[in-house]
Amino acid sequence: MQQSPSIYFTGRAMPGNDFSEKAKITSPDKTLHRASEELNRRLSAIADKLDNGIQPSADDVDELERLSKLKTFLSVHRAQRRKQVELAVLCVATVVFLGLSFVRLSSTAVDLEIHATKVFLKLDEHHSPTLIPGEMGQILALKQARGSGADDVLPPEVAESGSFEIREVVAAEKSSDNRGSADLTVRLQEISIPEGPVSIAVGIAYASDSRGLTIETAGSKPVTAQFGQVIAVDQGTSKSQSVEYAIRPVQATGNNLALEIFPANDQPQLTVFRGVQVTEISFEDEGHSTILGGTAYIKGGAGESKQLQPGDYLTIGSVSPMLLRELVFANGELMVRLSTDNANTLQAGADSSSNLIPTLFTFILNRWPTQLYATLSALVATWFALRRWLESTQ
Amino acid sequence: MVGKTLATFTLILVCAALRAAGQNRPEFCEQLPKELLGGLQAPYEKQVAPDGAEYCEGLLRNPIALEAPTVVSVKQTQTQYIFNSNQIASLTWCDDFDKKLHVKVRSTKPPLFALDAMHALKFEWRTELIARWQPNWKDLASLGIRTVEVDGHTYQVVVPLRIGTGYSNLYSFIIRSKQPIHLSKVLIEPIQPPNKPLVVNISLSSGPAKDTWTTTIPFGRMPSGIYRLTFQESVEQAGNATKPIYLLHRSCNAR
Repeated sequence: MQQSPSIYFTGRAMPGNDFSEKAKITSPDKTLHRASEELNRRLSAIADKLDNGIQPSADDVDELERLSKLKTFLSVHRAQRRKQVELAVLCVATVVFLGLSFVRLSSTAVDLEIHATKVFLKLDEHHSPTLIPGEMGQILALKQARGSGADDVLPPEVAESGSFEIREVVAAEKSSDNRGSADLTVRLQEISIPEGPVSIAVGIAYASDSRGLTIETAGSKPVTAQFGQVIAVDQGTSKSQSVEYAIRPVQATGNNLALEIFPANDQPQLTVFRGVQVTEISFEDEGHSTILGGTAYIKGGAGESKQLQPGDYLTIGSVSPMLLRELVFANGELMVRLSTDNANTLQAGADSSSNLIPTLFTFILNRWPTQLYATLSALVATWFALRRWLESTQ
Repeated sequence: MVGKTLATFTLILVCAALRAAGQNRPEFCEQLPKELLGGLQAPYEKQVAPDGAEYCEGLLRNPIALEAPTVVSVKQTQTQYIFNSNQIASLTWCDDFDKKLHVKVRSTKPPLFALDAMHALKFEWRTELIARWQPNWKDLASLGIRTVEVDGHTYQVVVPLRIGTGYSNLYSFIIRSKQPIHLSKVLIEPIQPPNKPLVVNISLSSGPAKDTWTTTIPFGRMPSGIYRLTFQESVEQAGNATKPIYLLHRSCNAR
């Protein structure tokens, strides 16, 4: 008597044997395949018998019926398995996509262009002695200069308890000489920041009719500011009386020096810093945002820009020192241009909660968009082709 | 055996000499690392004056920093003087005999010769190095510096120096500025005794080196005291000015 296919194939899968284990794992597919082959073979044999005018026996028909039932059972089992595999693949794809969408880059390159009323900076520890205003040799004409927190002021009579105020001289009357062309403004000759870590707050100073700059410094080494105050020197003799104007230097030195300077003319802009490395920068003053507006250009991600609204908060931190391209006082507000290639903290928004560091997905999408679309299309096409092929082999 | 002992003794002596050569310079000298002075023929180092006092003398590297307009030399005006080797030169000044002065001499042109000493009344030293590297007194910027306290404020005052004996109350100033300036006045503010400030017109002429200018100011009519001097452009100009210096003026008879 011929052995049934199911018994025949099960008998091959002997436990404790490597081949048998492998056969066990793949047995449903192989069983289905061999059942299909056996069914086809039996059908061919019955067809041959019918061609030769021989009626198939009842056993042949029973065998065919059994094989057909077996194949149907195995096909259902296989379809269930394929659904499980498809589900697993979909889960993996979802997890990968979610990972790419939520995991962010460790750092990114960013350029900031921000208008603000106050900026807090920490200069790099290894910075060279720096002069402000940032243009070498530039002398600023001021209407007024105020200072406080000075440890020493020379000449001493200018100051009281470390505070001083110097004002532009108002000429009493025009004399016969060319006194009318004399520039009687206060000169800011230099503010010298020594080497080493220094914290500086630059903000807007307000006076009744104008706006100026506040510069507050704090560090372990003293900062020196030198002004030139125009004074009238009485050159009179017993016979004649004449007044000569001269520039008297006023030098203030202190570790925690605070200055307020008011430019004399409506200058289009005044550069405070240019090309300086800073380790920290902040736009918050006593818990309030000092930002008036601006844009953050994120280079590492979508190449997109984030517009900042008045009152928005911005937090930026960097692994390496950031380059303060310039800090300019213009039109009564401060404009900051800052660049860094390694921002590891970049948050902005009304409550500073929006993380601007790009996700891996946006990074890939914007770095290699063509390759990403091509790869996704190829994967989908391959998946459908594979399904069609698998269905056709049944 | 004797040879070995001698060799060991010699080695110890050499080591001691090398150790002495590597000792720190006095506080008033430039505290530069040796690496910065490598390759110079006569690097700036500690020396011993004929009276046994330590001072520093030799060549420095040229600075590269841009400075604000600065007064780099205050001397008593005197005729040309050339240093000859194998002599003992003396720098003198008019000040209290017991007050020590930091004598700072720098050449205004390469090679950058430098001398720093701390002495009272006068300073004498051998001229081998200066005669070889910068023999012309005119090319040397010199400052005599000490601190003075007036009304609770400490000032670094400058005392005009001269080479050799004598005295002149016509003071010669060298001003260095990398940026073009047209200084035409000096503001003289008496600090001690306090008095009204004074503006004096000056005439600048080219100095001994590029970016330097010289001028002279007579102090014969001024009472002895401390004056703050600021060389400046007039108020009709941009307003460039030197960093102020505090001049200690005393009247002495020619010695």
